[in-house]
Formats: sequence, structure tokens, C-alpha cells
Amino acid sequence: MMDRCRDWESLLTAYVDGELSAVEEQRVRAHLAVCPFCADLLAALLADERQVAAYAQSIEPPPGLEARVVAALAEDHQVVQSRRLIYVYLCCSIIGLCTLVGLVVSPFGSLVTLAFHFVSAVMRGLMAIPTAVHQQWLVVAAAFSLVLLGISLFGTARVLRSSRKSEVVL
Amino acid sequence: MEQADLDLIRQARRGKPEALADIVRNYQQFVYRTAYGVLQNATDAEDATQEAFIKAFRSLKQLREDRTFPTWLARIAVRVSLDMLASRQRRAQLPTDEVSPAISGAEDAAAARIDVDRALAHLNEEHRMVIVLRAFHGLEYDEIAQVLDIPVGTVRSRLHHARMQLRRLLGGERGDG
Repeated sequence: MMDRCRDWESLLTAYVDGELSAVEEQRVRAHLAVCPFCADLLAALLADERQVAAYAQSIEPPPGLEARVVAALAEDHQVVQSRRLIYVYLCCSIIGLCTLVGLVVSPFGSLVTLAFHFVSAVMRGLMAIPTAVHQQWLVVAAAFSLVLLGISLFGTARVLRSSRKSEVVL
Repeated sequence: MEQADLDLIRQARRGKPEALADIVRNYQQFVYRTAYGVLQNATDAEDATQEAFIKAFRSLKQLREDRTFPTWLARIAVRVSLDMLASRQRRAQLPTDEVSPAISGAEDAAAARIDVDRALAHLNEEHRMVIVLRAFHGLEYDEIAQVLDIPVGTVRSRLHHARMQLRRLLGGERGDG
């Protein structure tokens, strides 16, 4: 290789790749026609190119690689899905908690709290009546009456419904 | 890039498992060769191939143009391989040829392959990568620039130096230097 040809080396490698402009390509061709050193270098570069390409073609993935990659992808997909599910649960919990706090703090929440206190007070009052009058049997009688009333109402409703459908009751 | 591959990418983006498997089948050789070219080790190349596909499918929604899928996949494969190479260097392990990929061809071809193996192992990472992308896959300079995130001029310069170094190494082996 002559020293004066060093400048052409970089052009020759790009020439091999077809990455030169039309003007540069024409210059290189003209130089190759008169310079045996660069013509030899070009031939050697092309031979290297073929050898490396053949080498690349000889590299084959092992037979089990495809199955291994597909299995790994499926596993990774499951991991990602599980992680997403945890995020969904976390988000739902946070939203639920925020909604609860919001309800309690809001005027509607105050109304609900007030109603709860009212119902609780009424229940406590009802529970205290028998003890206050020392007549526990009254409570038993009232409960029994309520059960009888419920059964009567249920029976009446059945009779009415059956008579509408012209069914025989019993 | 073929229309069938574009359809597969669209289906894979919607999460269709069959499409993922088909893409792996169609591109495993491409990714494996890239990884092997950079890592020069079959076992590491297998791991890198698996890792590259996992990363690619995790971030498939970030792919803006489906047509650029091969370049995009090559970029991921190169990055994964480089990370693996760095990790291997940290463990102070030299490239080994104890596990070689399947060799197709006769004994002469196998000998030539070993020459290229040795020559590539002597190149530094930057030079090896441009050779892999250009000579293995035939990517254009601008595609290599996209994959490696470097200017086209740098690609041209690196390829020139890599080729001249390969010339010295392979020329010595062939006796035509």
C-alpha cells in the first residue's frame, strides 16, 4: 500500500457498502482503474465481506431456543399481570377509603352519622323499657304477637294471590 | 418488511399470544445472530436473545412505526448484549468458545468460521457492533446510526476502522495480507 493511497482507504470501505455519493463513486472508480494497490485492497475487502457474511449465515440458534423464549414470555406475562392486579387492588382500596372519608366529612356523611345515632338511641331505649317497668313477660308477649302478626299477614297474602290465580289453597 | 410481519406486530400489540410466538419464530435468528456477534458466546447469546424478546414485548406499545420493528429489535438486542458483556467483564471472564452454535457447512467452512470468530473477538465492542449490524444483517448506515444512537459519519468512520482491522486479522489468517 502506497502512502499516497491512504486517503482512499476510507472511501473504499464506503464504496464496498454502496454508501458513496455518485461523484465520490466515480472518483473511486477512476482511481481503481489506475491504482493496482487500491484494486487489490478492494478485492481483499470484498473477500472479507463474503467471509464474514458466510460466518453470519453459519450462526444458527439452538433448536430449543424458540420454545424457551416463548415460555419465558408467558411467564413474564403472568408476572406483569399479577403486578397489575396488585395495583388495581391498591387503587380500589385507596379510592374506597377516600370515598368513605369523603362521605364522613361531607354534609351527607354527617346526615348518615346523625341517622345512625338516632336509630341506635331508639334501639337502646326499646331495650331499656322491660327493665324499667320490671315486666319482662310484656316483652315476650309483644314478641309473640309480632310473630303471629307476621304469620297472619303472610297467610293472607298467599290466600289473596292464590284466589287471583284461581288456585286451590292448601 | 413483509405485510404478514406487520400484521403480527399489530396482533402482538393487542396481546395475542400466538402472534408473540410467531414473531419469536421469525426473528429469533436475527436476534440470536446479533447477540452472538457481540458476545461471541453461545450460552450468553441465548440468554441475551430471551432477554431481548422480553424487553421488546414489554415495551412494544412504545414502538411508533411498525415498519421500524427490525431496527428497533436490533437496538434492544445490542443493548442487552452490551449490558451482558459489561456484566461478564465485571466478572472478569474472557470470551470462551467452549459452547459453539450449530455450524452448518463442511470443515473448510468451519475453519473459516473460526478465523472470523477469532478476528471478531479481537475487535473492540464499537467496531464489532458495526460489523455485526452491517455485515451480518446488511443494515444501511442510517439504520446503524439509529440502532447505536450515533451520527452517520461516526458509523462510516467506525466501519472503516473495523474493516481495516479485520483486513489485517483475516488477511494474516488467509495469507493474503
